[in-house]
Amino acid sequence: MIPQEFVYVARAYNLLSEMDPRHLRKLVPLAEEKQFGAGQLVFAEGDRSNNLYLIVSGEVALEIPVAGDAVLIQKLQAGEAMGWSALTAEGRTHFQARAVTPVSAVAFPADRLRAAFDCDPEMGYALMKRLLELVTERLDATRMQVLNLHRQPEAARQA
Amino acid sequence: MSVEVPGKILEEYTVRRNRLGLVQFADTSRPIFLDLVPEAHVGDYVRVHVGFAIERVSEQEARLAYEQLQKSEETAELALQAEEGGPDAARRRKPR
Repeated sequence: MIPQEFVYVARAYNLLSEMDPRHLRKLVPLAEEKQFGAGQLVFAEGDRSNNLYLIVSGEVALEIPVAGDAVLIQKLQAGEAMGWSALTAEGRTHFQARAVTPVSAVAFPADRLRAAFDCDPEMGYALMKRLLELVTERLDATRMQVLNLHRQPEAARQA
Repeated sequence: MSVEVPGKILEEYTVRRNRLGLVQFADTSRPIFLDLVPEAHVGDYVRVHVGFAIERVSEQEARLAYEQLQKSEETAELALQAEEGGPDAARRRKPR
């Protein structure tokens, strides 16, 4: 019988744990652990995107600040990634990310990650494929949120 | 960069395609991925970074790493106390 904690951890590290160990061996040393307190801003919209984060525990709200308010786009839990714009040339965040609860994350500094991808394009392609799934999921969530906002503007807004 | 902490594998499990172990550190134990150290099993010591065991180490190496970690923590604490003007300085500065 596998303890539930192990199943949870396996799911939380899904983005990395399913990668080829050859690639994982190169990726893991690049990363560092980061902790965020409840309410703390992980990054603001339009910030230079310095890290790609994998959430290990806790909950993060992705929001778009609008006139002193914040429109919730998506809530992210363990196993999900954020800050993928760190991998684009311009590297600016499209949302603000706020820790809803205490959050533990694995952070990949963008410059080190891009350099590693240049050295090993196969590894870069493998991770980018996983990240593309994430971006698609994020786009779907944005579409749903826009629809909800259109139907129920007040309910869709969050302070 | 996080410190690569060594720990001892107490239990191991296979969850889907991954091998995970319960790894004991100084004052805590937690699940760690063992996929990068196929040679490491229960009773072995491993160096861990961001949730992944990255290298198997001997018990002696693990102990040495702990001692070094402890020393660096003590040094950091002493440096902090010196910066504050000694361990009694904070008490002296408290308003009466």
